[in-house]
Amino acid sequence: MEQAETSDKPASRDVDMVASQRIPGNRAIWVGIFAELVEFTLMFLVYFIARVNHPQVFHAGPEKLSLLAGTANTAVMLTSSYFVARAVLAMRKDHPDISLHWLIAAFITAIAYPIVKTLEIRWNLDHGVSGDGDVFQMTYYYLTFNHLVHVSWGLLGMLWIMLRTGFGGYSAQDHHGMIAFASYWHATDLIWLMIFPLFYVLP
Amino acid sequence: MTNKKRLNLSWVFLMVLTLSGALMGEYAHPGFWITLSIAFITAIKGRLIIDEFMQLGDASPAIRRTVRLFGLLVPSLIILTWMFGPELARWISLATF
Repeated sequence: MEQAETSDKPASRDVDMVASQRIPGNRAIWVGIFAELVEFTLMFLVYFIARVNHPQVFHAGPEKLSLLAGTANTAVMLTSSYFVARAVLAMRKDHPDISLHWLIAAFITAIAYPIVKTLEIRWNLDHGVSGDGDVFQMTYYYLTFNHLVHVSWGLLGMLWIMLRTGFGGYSAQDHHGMIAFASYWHATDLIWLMIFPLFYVLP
Repeated sequence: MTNKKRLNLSWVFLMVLTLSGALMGEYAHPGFWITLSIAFITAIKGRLIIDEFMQLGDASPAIRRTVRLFGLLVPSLIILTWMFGPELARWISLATF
């Protein structure tokens, strides 16, 4: 895998990607990504409105959650996102087989997200953290369940991209579908990076 | 530096920042500097994802600016609500609904 990518060029990026009006992937995926960003912007506003109205509940909130589960899922999202970025890079270098290997690594890593989430919810319920708890717990479930839904869509999309790559659907010249998926997956990762400190870290 | 090295370094940096944040969550007490640090780490992580993984540095300005703005939303609100929490609570009190 490493040997095949030794022709990697300096970070000037590919010439055809330099156009100032470049839309990564396609327009349709960016409509979806912007809708996702607006949705979570509204949810973040709900979080902060609740936080300023109930500061004591939110100060005590993170202690009730599993920091280990939150950190593990952050590592999972970041690593899966990194693997997807490497898959795109390999495809740009015209190495579809290597690209598929990176996608498989991304999928195996990402599947840990719903598994950790399931274990976390069991742990939560055992420790009295439920959807009908205090306002911190309600916003926690509201945001993280919504994010889980977006991750689930991403996992289905990743399977599709893997199949397309495996059957030779992409090339170095045309892999817009893969870039569109990668953009969605990175955006979903970005949203988790915003959720993580709000519920697991911020005292 | 090659794209591959940039991606590798970005991932390592993101993991280090994540572990730093987790340590803060475990041991830190509430305070302005810890809040500022958490907001700063969140903003840096967001920017790394946007610029290095999404590679929006040379994308359409509308896309690049919108996503970068989103990456700054939560860090900004973390700081604002720490500094002006009671004042904001008076403006947007849930009790009025």
